[in-house]
Amino acid sequence: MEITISSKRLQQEVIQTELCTSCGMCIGLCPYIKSFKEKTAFIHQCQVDDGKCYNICPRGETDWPQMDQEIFGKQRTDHVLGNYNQLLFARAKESDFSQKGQYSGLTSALVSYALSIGEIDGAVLSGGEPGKMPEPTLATTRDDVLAAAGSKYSAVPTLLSLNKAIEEGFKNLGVVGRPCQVLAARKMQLRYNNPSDLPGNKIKLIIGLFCFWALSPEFYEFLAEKTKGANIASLDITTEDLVVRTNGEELKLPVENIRRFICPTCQQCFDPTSEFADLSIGSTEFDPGWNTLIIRTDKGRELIEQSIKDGIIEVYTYPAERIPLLLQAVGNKKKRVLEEWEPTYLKLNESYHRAVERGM
Amino acid sequence: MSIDSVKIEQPGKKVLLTGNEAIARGAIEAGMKYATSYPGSPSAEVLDVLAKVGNPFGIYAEWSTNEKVASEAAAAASFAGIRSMTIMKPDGLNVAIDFFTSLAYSGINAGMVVVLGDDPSAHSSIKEEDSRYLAKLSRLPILEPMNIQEAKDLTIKAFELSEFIGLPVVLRGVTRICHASGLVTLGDIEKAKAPVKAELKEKFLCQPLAHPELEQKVKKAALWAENNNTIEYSGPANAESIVIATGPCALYAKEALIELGLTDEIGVLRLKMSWPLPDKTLLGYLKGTKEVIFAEETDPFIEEGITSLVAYHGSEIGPIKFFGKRNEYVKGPMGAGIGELNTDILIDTLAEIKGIKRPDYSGSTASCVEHVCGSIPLRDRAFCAGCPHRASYWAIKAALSLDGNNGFVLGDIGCYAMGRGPTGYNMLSTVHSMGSGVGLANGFGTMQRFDFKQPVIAVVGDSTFYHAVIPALINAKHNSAKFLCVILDNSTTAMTGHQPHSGSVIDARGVDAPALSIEKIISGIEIPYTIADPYDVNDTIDVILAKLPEPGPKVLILRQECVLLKSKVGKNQKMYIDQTLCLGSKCGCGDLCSRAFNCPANINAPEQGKMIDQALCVGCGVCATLCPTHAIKLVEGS
Repeated sequence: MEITISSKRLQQEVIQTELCTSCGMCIGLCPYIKSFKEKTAFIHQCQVDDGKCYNICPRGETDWPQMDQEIFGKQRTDHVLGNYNQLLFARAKESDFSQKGQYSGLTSALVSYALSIGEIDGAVLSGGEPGKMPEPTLATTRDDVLAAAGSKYSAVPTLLSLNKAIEEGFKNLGVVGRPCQVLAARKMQLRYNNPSDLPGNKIKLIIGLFCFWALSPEFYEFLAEKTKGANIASLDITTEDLVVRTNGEELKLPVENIRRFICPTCQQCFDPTSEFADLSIGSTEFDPGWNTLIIRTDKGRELIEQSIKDGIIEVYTYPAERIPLLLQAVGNKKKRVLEEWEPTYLKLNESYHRAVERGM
Repeated sequence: MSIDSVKIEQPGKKVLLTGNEAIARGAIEAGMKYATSYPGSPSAEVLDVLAKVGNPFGIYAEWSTNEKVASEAAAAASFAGIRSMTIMKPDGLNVAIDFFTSLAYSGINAGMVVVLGDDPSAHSSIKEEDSRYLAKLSRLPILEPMNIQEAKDLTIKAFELSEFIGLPVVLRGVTRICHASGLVTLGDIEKAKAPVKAELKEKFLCQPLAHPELEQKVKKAALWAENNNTIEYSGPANAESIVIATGPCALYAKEALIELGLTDEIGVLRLKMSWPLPDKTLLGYLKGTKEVIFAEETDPFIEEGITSLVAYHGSEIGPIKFFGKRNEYVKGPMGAGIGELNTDILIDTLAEIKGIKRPDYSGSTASCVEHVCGSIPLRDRAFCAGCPHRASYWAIKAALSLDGNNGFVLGDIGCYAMGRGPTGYNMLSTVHSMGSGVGLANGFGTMQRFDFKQPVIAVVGDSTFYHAVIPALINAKHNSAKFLCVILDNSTTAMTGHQPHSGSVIDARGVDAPALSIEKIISGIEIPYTIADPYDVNDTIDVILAKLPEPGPKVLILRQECVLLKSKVGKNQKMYIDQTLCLGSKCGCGDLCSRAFNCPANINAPEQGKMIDQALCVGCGVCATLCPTHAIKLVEGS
């Protein structure tokens, strides 16, 4: 018999199968779902059919072509990067952002700018000190944004802050998140926006990050052990190394050392570049002074155009010779997911499968 | 029926008393001066009554820390020449048994009566233990009153017998005696006013050489039974069939015979003393009898005694067909030897044995229940509205879910044993005897070498803490057992009727007494502890989550007074529900207050939506804390 109670479905299909991405979108929607140490827990059985918790879950059944249709009004032609408008190199012009942020600090600069022009009244970010378990934060000022700058490498349930901010009365919220969080926020935005007081209507800007995997919180115990408790100034994970800068020292560990902390659900992630975001931002794997920027929606394009005009960021043509490398990394990941896992949450049409056969 | 009737000085006056009050009155009439008890249902009120009315009679009454200490203190009074009484339920006798099996060897001096409140059908117990086997093991003669008058009279007899043989004597009440009421003709209490002087003049040593003397005392008790009309027969002379009964079962049997029209055919032989048996008198009745039906609660205790007796004397008294629990003739709906007997059960039993049709009669227990309770909806056993235990279990449940490591909760005896059921979110994985949750936690907490990783929580009450938990905590400290002991401190012994305990500022008589601080005791054992308010659910969850991973034993005291005590003083806060904010059963809530949290004061009314039952609500505010939309609010100024 098909289960209709949403919380039961969520537990059976997502929590018990370790597919939960700890995005945080369901946390705080009701009194029964809570989060502790980046794990989502049900504290009591709920009896609601068709509840939000399952409907907004990024690992709940997701019709990918339908998402494309609803967000972009069209199907994708690029099965690797999804629907997009422009692929660019971009960087924040102000040194505050590049110093505190990851690479050029593009994301922080854009969020800070969106707040300053009133495009958004609050931004949901992953904050906290480098090397410590991050915390979901709500930023309303440039200082708040700077305080939360820098990549976080574990599955912080950032979106619980989104629910909290909506409850507190914020009306135009920005979200910066991992691809799973982008999908969750997008589901909320598309499915719960009418009448206008519904939460989906309060989500105005979604910036997605590139993400190939997130780590479980045990990673922080490992870090503390490796750094012998020293204060960590910054963290970076490149394709080869984990780079930890403590005060005055740089520790480089082969990335293989941390693979065991990768969350199991990340292996089944079909979306390394936040395909449903307004803007997707990642590293260039090439020049630490720049970020990769994918402009996907009109809303994203407008923000970029305006921020260039106001001198906040600058963009540069994506080097043609780098494009195949990006496509290969992303394409291989997606192909692997489909071939090795055949995730049950993914509903794809024939064109996707043909694309995989072609090598994406 | 009032406690004041217990002390009326008018011999011959008839007053309405409960069984427990009648036992207390009997003790006063017998000149009993020293009473101890640890509260246990159904006999808890005996000491309550003695403590309240005993002063003019010079009676000392105490709530002891546990039944073993209670028994020892009462025995000391007996040693010193003062008649004493100790009161407990079968679970308590289990605790005190080591002392009683030794006391049998040393013997006693002045009369000592052990009141045992058995609870067939376990109305307010976790098991329905028949205490007679342990009484026999300790060589304690057992008297079993049939009605309220006899509860008083046999109490007095018990003191006489105790002094006659030099052993304590058990007066066994059952719930239907202890909690029932009946007219009692009062006796003389002149004796109660005579002054007594305590002095130890002899030695009381338990030693193996005393065993032969002990067995002589048992024989003497049997002889006493022969000579003191402990067997009562009613029915036709030379009946071929008899029912042998103890306690109130004799009344059920008589009623059953009347309903079946068998009073001219079957007699009822009642034993006031179920051990040791008056063999000679019994054999006199059994001679010529062809059929014997046993009616007793709950185990086949006299059944075993009498069938064994007959086995030795078969050639003198001829063959007898027995109908009892062993051959499953006498059995209630749950089976032979399980649950209380009643008239209906005995009607069925006798009808089957006699091969006659069961009569329809208006007085059947089932029809009486239907008549009285027909319109009362069924409900689960539940914590009271505002009970701090509900909040504590909610916090524990939430914390263990969040912790996500398959943690579990070990239970104990008290109101909070209901944590096993829906009212406590089915949280308990074990429930056994007083202090056993912590004992079991010692075991689980030292199994790390066997790859045991689950977090362990043991819940205990404050009264239980003093009763049996301290040695288990000492063990935990010494052996570094990893678990969290949560003390649900509601400042009283709630389940049995709010008796004070060793942590209370007053004693049984209401006199100021030194209160022992739980946290100071725990500090003494050097176990880290935290005190939290269970009504502050979120804080409690955080504390539990923080404590669980710490090594060794930890204590969390969840302190909030029992709401029944608080409601006696009057409630201080009123709550209401803002219907414009209430989500009800919609997504985002799903009936948290009335369904999930499940406090009886949170009502889901079909028309009006969610409501607070103002008659029940004590204003604890926990539902307001949990309500996701803050729809439950405090009435300003209440």
